[in-house]
Amino acid sequence: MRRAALLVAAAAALATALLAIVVQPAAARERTYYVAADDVMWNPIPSGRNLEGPRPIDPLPPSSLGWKFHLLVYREYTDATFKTRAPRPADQSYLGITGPLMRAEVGDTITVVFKNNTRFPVNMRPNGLKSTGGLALVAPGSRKTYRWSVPESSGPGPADGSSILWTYQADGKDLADSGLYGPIVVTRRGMAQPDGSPNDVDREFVVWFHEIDETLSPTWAESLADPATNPHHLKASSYPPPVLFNNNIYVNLNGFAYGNMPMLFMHRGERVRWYVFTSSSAFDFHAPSWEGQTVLYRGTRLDVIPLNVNQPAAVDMIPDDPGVWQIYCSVNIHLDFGMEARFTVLQ
Amino acid sequence: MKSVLVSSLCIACVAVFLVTLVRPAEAAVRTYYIAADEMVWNYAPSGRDLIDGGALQPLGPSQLGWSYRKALYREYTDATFKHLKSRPPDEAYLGLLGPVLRAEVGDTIVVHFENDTPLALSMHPHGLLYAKSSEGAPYRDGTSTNGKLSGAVAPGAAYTYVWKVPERAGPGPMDGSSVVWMYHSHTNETEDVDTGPIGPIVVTAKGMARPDGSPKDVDAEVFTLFAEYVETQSRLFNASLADPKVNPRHITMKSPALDESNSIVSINGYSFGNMPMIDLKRGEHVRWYVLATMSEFDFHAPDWHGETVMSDGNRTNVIQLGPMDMKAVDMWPDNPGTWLFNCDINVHRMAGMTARYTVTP
Repeated sequence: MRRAALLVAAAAALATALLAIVVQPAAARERTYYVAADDVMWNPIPSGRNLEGPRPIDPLPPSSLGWKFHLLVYREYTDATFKTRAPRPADQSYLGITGPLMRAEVGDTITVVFKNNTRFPVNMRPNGLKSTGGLALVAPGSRKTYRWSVPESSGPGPADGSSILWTYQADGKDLADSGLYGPIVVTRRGMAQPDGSPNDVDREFVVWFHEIDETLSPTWAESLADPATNPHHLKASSYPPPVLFNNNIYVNLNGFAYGNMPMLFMHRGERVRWYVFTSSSAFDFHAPSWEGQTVLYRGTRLDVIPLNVNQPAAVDMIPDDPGVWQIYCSVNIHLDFGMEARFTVLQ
Repeated sequence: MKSVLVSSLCIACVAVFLVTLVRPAEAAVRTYYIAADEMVWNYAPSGRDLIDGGALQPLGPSQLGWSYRKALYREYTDATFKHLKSRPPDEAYLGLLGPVLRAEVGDTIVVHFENDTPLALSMHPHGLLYAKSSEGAPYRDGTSTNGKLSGAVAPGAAYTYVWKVPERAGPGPMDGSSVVWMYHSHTNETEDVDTGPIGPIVVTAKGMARPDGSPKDVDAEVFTLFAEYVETQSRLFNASLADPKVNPRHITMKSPALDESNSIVSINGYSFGNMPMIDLKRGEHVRWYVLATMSEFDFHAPDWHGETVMSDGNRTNVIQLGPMDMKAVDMWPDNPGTWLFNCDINVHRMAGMTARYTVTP
């Protein structure tokens, strides 16, 4: 009798120890990203066509430069030499102009080695994370290392799911209309896989709802001066504001318009988390909308999410209706100017 | 031993009885006959500002008037589409909204649609589950003619839409016993919405519905659509221009400030308090479904004077609405009187986005 009790006690102790090991959170990780601000030439409709629907692309007004323009973006590199760009996985090609997807579990630290490859002073500042390294602008050609810590107060709140979205952005003058934004996914402590992604979600997508007014971008003079982006040699002086102001606006999803964002794929029945965000150009009010499926947002069932300026949101979908569907902005002038993309639900 | 047998039998009996009790009602198929009809719509039928009792604001420089030709969804009694289903007087405030479609989770909605306008139109629901042949939206989705047919029903033609209502079309964990969706024409989505055909769908949680589909823990439901209609973007604007009854001033496409003059803010298609009164009773549990359309200035701040509402568990009397927003808030009116219900954005309020409701003791 006594032996049996002893055995039970020993087994219980062992089980407790085992459990402690199993549920002990993984040691806090330091996640390092090499990110440069680069000046790129961008085209929101690389196919030259409206891949979304039967209607043709709206003709650009006469004082529009065209579909190509210069843009500042964040891009990831393999190491501190900043010689080789970190290849974006094929299933992330849809991220377009959006900066590298960073991840952290609560307790982790993100280290960003930053290089400014542009001709303008810019920086990197996270929303929601604790940053060291200051907000000073980094001179063209210079570098800076930032450490962003991820305490409990940067992670999901009681009514959030297992992960939430933050963004990082540049603080320099007139950068709201640049492409200098990127996503950070923070996962609840104990809920992350080794790469930082939440372990109760099968698939994640990040979509930036964005309006670029190229005339307000720091690269505007460059876009005007470059025959590759200004093939008709428009002169700013011959089209004073507000004509130019109104006619070089590009609404986009991750930089793409008129269905040109690479197709997103998911399977029926998967737990899909969509992270959507806006930035802060003049009219960055958007209404991300999904066809064919519904989402849960803060516990309520919707298929249109109203977003304010510079607002991130995470919504959950379990797709159940196979087919090709639209994701788009429900603001009518945005939809008319091609703020739409497609996703496919496979059986 | 015998007692064990007896008690297990009893337990089995009780279990069977319980299963019978909690078994959800049979899934229903709810059938509607809806036509899109071309009609003249008057945003201010009294010809006055009923909020302050004075005259309407002067017409804009190129405003046709307060009436326009619009395409609206209307409910008929059967497949002959000969007899309009009459709307009871206490639902007159619904105005240009199409019929309220209802379902309990598990049901199926079947809409027999007839397009009696000169425009190709469709019916596209938010939130519900549909095959491509019932989506009502034409775009490059890899389907051939079937999907396209549902997305653009030709003038004079008919089409049957089948929409299923699974769990994911019903209330989420933080919602009340019912949620609201919209249906609207999606042949050319943005222009169609300015043209007019739009209506509400209520989905009630499984086990929470009365036979008619309405939530049984709610005494009264109110539907309001906050909309800025840019009539120049309507696919019937040319018809409005050509109709001397709605265009007595002979405005033309070349008239100045055409867009600004013909942008009208409204609630259910009524401006300046012209919406028929919403009548509520003190102490009732009232659910307000608040909707918005999709123009670039369809950001609204519905404000209830005299009462408060619960919105997502928070007490307020002003909520935020964005384009195509669909919200449900709950009110327990306790303050008898006639109260203002309006959009708090100053330019919208001044332009007539105002209505009234009455709470009787």
